[in-house]
Amino acid sequence: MSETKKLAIIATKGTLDWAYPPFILSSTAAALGYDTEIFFTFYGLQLLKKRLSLKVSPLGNPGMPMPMGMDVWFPNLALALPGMEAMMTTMMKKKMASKGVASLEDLRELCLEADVKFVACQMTVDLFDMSPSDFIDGIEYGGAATFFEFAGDSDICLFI
Amino acid sequence: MSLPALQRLRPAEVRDIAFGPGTLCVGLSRRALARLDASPPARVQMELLFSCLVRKRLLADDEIPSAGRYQARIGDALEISFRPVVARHCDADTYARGQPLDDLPLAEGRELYPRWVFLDYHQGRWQGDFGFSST
Repeated sequence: MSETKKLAIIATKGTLDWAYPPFILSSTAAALGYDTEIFFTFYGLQLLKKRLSLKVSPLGNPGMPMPMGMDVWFPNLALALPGMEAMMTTMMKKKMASKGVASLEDLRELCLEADVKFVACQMTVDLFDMSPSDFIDGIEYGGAATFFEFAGDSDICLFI
Repeated sequence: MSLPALQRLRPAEVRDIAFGPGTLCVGLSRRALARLDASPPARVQMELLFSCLVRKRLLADDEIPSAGRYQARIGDALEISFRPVVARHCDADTYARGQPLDDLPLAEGRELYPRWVFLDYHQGRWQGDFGFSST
């Protein structure tokens, strides 16, 4: 077995908040010298779109801090009102930017620069009638067997 | 080279400079251009912190704790550097207070460096943003 440590990640979520962990962990690991691979499946494929337009939803997300204590007094049902999701997404992006948090585009680019291998689940691409032209360059397509080939030898394997 | 992420910040002038193993696209505001060759010489540093989040900030002059991984010069009097770091403790408060940070031990062949930087000179100090995305 190779001396180089390996990190394998399965990315399954396609929301703004859940897009950060795979990219943060893999860019850090790769910078430290890990061989790193992310297998994007189901909604995680959104993270590979050329234009990232991910959103965060306050609905069904009681752990999400909201401004002015809204998470305490604001009726949960009202979070389903049209425009709430877009408003929360904008607020979260502004909060991230004001704290100097690197954007998802930056993190994804960092990963590619650091030779993190992106594998898109071919079956999910077919299932959702997506086209390879929707996705950024530099990714591979494969299935579970492709992922296990790498993950089977990994030191750390995460499902996100 | 002109990157969309940089163009969105509407620089008055864009320059490409050799930086580390590649090229850094530098966008300058009008105020930055006016200040660029002024004395005394100044320094700015692009700091990238790998922690539970990846954070970036632009430091200037005496805020810069140590030399960066790559350095270059913009104009005669401004030096720019890049320093990837890791936090000894993952804590927002201590980070804000300027906790000690260690250089990130980048592995061989993993040459990370910013692709663009936007610089402004406002209220007596250098400010700006930088990024890695070419889109």
